Amino acid sequence: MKFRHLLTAALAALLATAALADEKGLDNHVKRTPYYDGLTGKKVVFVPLAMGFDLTEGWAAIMRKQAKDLGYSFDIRDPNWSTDAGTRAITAIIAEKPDLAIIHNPDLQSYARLEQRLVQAGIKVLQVNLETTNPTDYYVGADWVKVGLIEAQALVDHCGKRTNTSGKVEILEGQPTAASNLYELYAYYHVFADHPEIKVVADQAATYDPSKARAITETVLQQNPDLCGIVGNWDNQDVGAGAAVQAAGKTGSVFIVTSGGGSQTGCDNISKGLLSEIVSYDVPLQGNALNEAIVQLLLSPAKAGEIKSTYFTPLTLQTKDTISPHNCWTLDQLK
Amino acid sequence: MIGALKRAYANFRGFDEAGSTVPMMDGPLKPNTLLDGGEILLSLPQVDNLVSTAGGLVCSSGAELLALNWPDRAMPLAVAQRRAFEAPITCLASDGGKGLAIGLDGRGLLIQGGRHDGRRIDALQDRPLNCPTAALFLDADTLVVANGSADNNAEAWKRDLMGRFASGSVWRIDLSTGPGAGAKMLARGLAFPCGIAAGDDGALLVSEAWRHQLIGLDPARGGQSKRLLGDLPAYPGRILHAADGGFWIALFAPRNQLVEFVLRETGYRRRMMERIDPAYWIAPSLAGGASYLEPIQGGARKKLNIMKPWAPTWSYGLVLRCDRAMRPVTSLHSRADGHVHGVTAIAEADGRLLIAAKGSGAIVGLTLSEGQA
Amino acid sequence: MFSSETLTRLRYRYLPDHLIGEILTKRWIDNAVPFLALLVAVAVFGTLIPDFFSLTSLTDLGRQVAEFGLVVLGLSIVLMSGGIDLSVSSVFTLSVLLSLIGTNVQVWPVPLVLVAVLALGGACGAINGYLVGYLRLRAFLTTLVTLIIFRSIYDLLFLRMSTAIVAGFSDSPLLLFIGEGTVLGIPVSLLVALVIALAWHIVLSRMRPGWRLIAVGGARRSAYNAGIKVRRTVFFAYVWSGLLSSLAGFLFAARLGSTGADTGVGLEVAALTAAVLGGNSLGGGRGSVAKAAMGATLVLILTNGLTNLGVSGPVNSTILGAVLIAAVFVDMRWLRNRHKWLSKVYVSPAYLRLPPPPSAADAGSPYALNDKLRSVEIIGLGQIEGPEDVILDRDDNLYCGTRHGDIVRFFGPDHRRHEVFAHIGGHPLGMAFDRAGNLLVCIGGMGLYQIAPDKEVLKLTDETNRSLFSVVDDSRLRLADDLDVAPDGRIYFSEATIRYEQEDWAVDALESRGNGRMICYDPRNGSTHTEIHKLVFANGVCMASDGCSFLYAESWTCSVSRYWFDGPKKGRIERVLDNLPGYPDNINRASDGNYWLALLGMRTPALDLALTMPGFRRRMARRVAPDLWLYPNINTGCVVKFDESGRILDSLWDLGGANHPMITSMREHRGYLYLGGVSNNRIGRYKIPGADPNWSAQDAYWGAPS
Repeated sequence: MKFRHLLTAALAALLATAALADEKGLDNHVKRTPYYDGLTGKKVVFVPLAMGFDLTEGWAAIMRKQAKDLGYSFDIRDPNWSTDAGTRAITAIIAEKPDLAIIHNPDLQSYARLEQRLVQAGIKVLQVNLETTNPTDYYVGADWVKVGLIEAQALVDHCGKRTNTSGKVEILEGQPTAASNLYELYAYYHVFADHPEIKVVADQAATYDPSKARAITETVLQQNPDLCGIVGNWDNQDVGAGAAVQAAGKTGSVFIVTSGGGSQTGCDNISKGLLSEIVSYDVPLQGNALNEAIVQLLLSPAKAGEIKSTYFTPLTLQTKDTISPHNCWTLDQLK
Repeated sequence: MIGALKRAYANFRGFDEAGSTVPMMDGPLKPNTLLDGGEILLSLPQVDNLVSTAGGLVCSSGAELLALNWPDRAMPLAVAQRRAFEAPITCLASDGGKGLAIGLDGRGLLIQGGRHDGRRIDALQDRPLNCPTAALFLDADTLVVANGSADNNAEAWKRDLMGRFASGSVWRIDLSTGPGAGAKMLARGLAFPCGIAAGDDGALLVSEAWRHQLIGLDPARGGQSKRLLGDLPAYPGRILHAADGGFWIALFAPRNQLVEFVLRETGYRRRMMERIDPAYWIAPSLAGGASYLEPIQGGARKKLNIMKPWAPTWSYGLVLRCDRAMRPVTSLHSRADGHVHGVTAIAEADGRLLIAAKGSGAIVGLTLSEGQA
Repeated sequence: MFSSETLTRLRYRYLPDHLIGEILTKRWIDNAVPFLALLVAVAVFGTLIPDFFSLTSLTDLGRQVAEFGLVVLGLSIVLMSGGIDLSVSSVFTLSVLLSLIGTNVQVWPVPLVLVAVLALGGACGAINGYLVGYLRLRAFLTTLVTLIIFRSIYDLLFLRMSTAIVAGFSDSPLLLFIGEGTVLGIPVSLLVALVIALAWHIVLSRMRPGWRLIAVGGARRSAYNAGIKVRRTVFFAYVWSGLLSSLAGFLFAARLGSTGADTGVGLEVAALTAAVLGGNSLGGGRGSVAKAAMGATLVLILTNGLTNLGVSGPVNSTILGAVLIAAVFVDMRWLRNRHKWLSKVYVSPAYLRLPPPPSAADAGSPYALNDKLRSVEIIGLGQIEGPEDVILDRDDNLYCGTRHGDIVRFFGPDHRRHEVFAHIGGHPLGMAFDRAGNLLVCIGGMGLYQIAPDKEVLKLTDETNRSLFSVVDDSRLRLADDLDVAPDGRIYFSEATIRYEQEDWAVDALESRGNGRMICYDPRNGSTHTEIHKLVFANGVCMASDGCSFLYAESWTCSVSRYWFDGPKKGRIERVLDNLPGYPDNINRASDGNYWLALLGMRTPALDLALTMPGFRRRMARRVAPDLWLYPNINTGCVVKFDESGRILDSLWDLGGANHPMITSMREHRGYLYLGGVSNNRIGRYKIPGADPNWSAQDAYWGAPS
């Protein structure tokens, strides 16, 4: 075996020398040929929660660009916020047998069995940002526990001991069974357990809906005018809470921390005072990580489900002091 | 192609693409039983061409010319004199004096009495005068004659209708010039012209039966025609200029939706005309019920032994009164269950209206009150 | 020679275009449009999407059809009852949640979970049913409110339970089997749904509760007046809707093992679309399980297909909405126009060539014209309407039917007084006495009845065996016309047409197709069967002299035939008369051993010609009002006498029909001939010169009473 490798290498070297003589340079086909040939014609399918919002549009833009460059196909199946439609889309994908399915999970379990079936069917599964309990070939996304810890700590910093505040906080959940929500929730209560001065006066789900977040927060503010802080699941949702706070004339006195993709919209919301702090999982960065994972999975000779890797994308903090055009992205930049 | 598609669609949807819907009898044409209420002055089979002349009333029955006597207005008419001709008499016209133009089916026109006594007109500009359906003296020397159809004689009028012929013409004949000369065609391509009257403004009024309309011909302007009265629910025939202004129009047979349908069914119509006696055609007629071989329509069957007056029929009695502008004013009817059907001629005498119903073979007299006339 | 007429004849013999009209009368034809749409959808997406027909995708489609289909079925049941249930999606979602709590959190046994879920669904349905059915609240608003309330309950519970649900896990193999398993390659859930659908199909189409449900939806007030418990029916429609939705939720939970905030959102709109798309009427009273199933499959194929093709979510929803609008539009047009289309295509004339009629004009002809019937004695003028047949008993009493549904008896011998002998309800047509003196009557639209001398009315039969290949149900008797009794008691009666009711007999004349038949009722065992098929307006029936054959008339072919039902020539048919000048009706015995035959109307050349041109008649039927159609000339009456060899011996006329247009029957009795007419208002009595003044048909056939 080794001998054969050597022989091949020797032969390649010989040929390379010949080519060198011809073109006065190196074509590096040893790496290039298997790389490009291995990617062209491959099939990748992406099932987001829905299209039409910053995270999925951002990722899709970055992934589509690379797919175009490298010549593999990239299709999107949009279930438009419907888990049921999503299951149908994935079921159809099983029959289609693409090389890779990228799945954005609405909750920890719904797609778990289907992903298992994808893997059994020899289709590699890359989970993005929201995972299931069931690990597959790759996960690229935020470490939600860490996000939650950072958020909770920020809240403690603003409302905890020696801050001279009421210590009353509101938790705005997103989709209750989603990975982000459950892991963050764990982190919140874990941190608050060490800080008895923090009093959770409300814990409700806004299911990614800003108007729901606003309605919940309005009620909470009426019952607790001395509310100190709000910790939320997602910036696009929690901007509703910010609006409620603003409407109550308490901008600045209620600290709102949340997480998000770090888009320009989020930054704008901070500069408008609707949000105080965003733990950003940086969509452009995630997009690049996704592209890397895609290439790796498509080229890897490993069978589906054989190797399970994880990449937690780095987190950055966005506050009024740190935001700048450099760390706030727009979709046009990504395209 | 588009036309065929349109027809197929119209056929499927069942609507009428040819504008052949029979208009309702309504307004001035609202049905009544006035004709049936008239007094029967004379029963005479095939009575036709009732004309009032200086010498009294004349009429025809088949090939016979009859002079009528009416000594007592309270009594029925009596036949004073009969004379047979070689062919059925199709029209009569008086010149106001002793002259009488007599139309003979398939033969032409014969003038009897007056200045042109014995004059025969059997052709007009080398075309045979085969179907003289109406004649009118404009003055003692000028005669207007309608040739109902160049293809059929007057007796074969059903064939002319069901064959969709339109070869009738109207002529003006100057009798003062020599024989053969002086005939001038005023109109042609008419669908069975069979009634002529002089309008007040010098125009000629002609009834064009198969197009259910009355047209005005202007002899001064080369016979230009215009429609004066159209969409009639029956086929118009003779026109009489009423003594007190306006016109009486005899409508000799009713239009029928089934006939209109058959007129569009070329295949059936052709076979019917080839194989069946005209008396038993699906076609209008002057009188009905003579034989069980005549077709009937659903609404015409007797129920509880009663024939309904509104039943669809092949024959009807209808006289229409129009004002000077040819607007219908009133009408006289004999409906499906009536007995004055197939009115072909109208005359006025002493303020009474005399109606010759060829279908029923009777002359009926009516005295009209102010409101009806 | 291969003329165009030959082509016409062949075309009308071998292309059964009357079937189009008959198919349009069937209830299942409503399914044609959704079924075609389904085929188109399958064809389109099947070609566009690779692997559409692969086993996995079909299996998965099956599972989805099962869940979604159950919801659609529940909604369809409510739609059929005349209501609407928008809360199906919330009930579904609540059931999903309860199932997961049961399996993942409480770890109940699976059957207990199922029972709990069904109880929940039933309870939710009962709330709706009580509000809508008993309190008579508006269905739309009520279920909209419960939709929101149930959903809120879900949201509250879900928040509390989400962590527990996700943290827990059920390892029940039964649950896995329900969610993932297959039996013979068919997903379990689909199997469950199919069994339920089949049960509901039987209930709706074959059983009283289903008929009541549809009756309530079709006409609430009429259903109430008919004694149906409207409120209870409506109540249970909602309960069933809740039950089926909750079962769907259970299956969903078993399949996915999870739920989300979006579970069931918009399901009510999709289900409503499916129900309406399948052809279930929003107005109630019209729907079926097949429609629900087709609608559900269609919507799933559509949404799945569009998602697979990469159509974005909002566009997908928009398309679904557009499809809903289109379905409602088509449904409305179809409902409104179906009868119009039906009336246009139902009448489908056939080709019929009659030989040239015999001339009646010359004096030497047996049909020589006369007016013998014009001056007959009149009986019962204005007292009866529509004596189609007349008959006399041994005591000279005269019986006739009337269109008011009575049998009137005129007392002999002068027939001045009369009484209603029996009231039956349908128009009595042909009559005969059996050996015991019972009066047997064919009733138009009802069947064969017997009236005993003591006036007791008994239905003998109103149905026969259904033909194997007939589209319309021809087992019901539509127009029993005339009858006679064989010496052994068997009753042979004619049914003029199976396509039209009695008042539309003339439309059957327009068709002139073999729509009639001869039927035998055997009183010995009460059985009925069809003896001769495809007769052209089978009319008069009369036993022949040999006792094992009878003569029968076929009106529109102007013929009389003889059929042997027994004896050596059993089963044979021979033509006796084949070129009558009119349309034969009833046949009865004459005192001299010959037969009287009534001609209900006369042939006309114009109609004879039209019979050879079916297209002409079809267009006439479409474009000309029925009162203006060409008819047989029934304004002239005629009776002829003939013998068994087919010779015409005599004819009696009423030209112009002064007294007797349309003679449909005549009976000889003690030297007189009595005349009846189905649209007349009198009975005629004609003295037959030289006839036996003591002859009575009853005695002559059955023998004098001992």
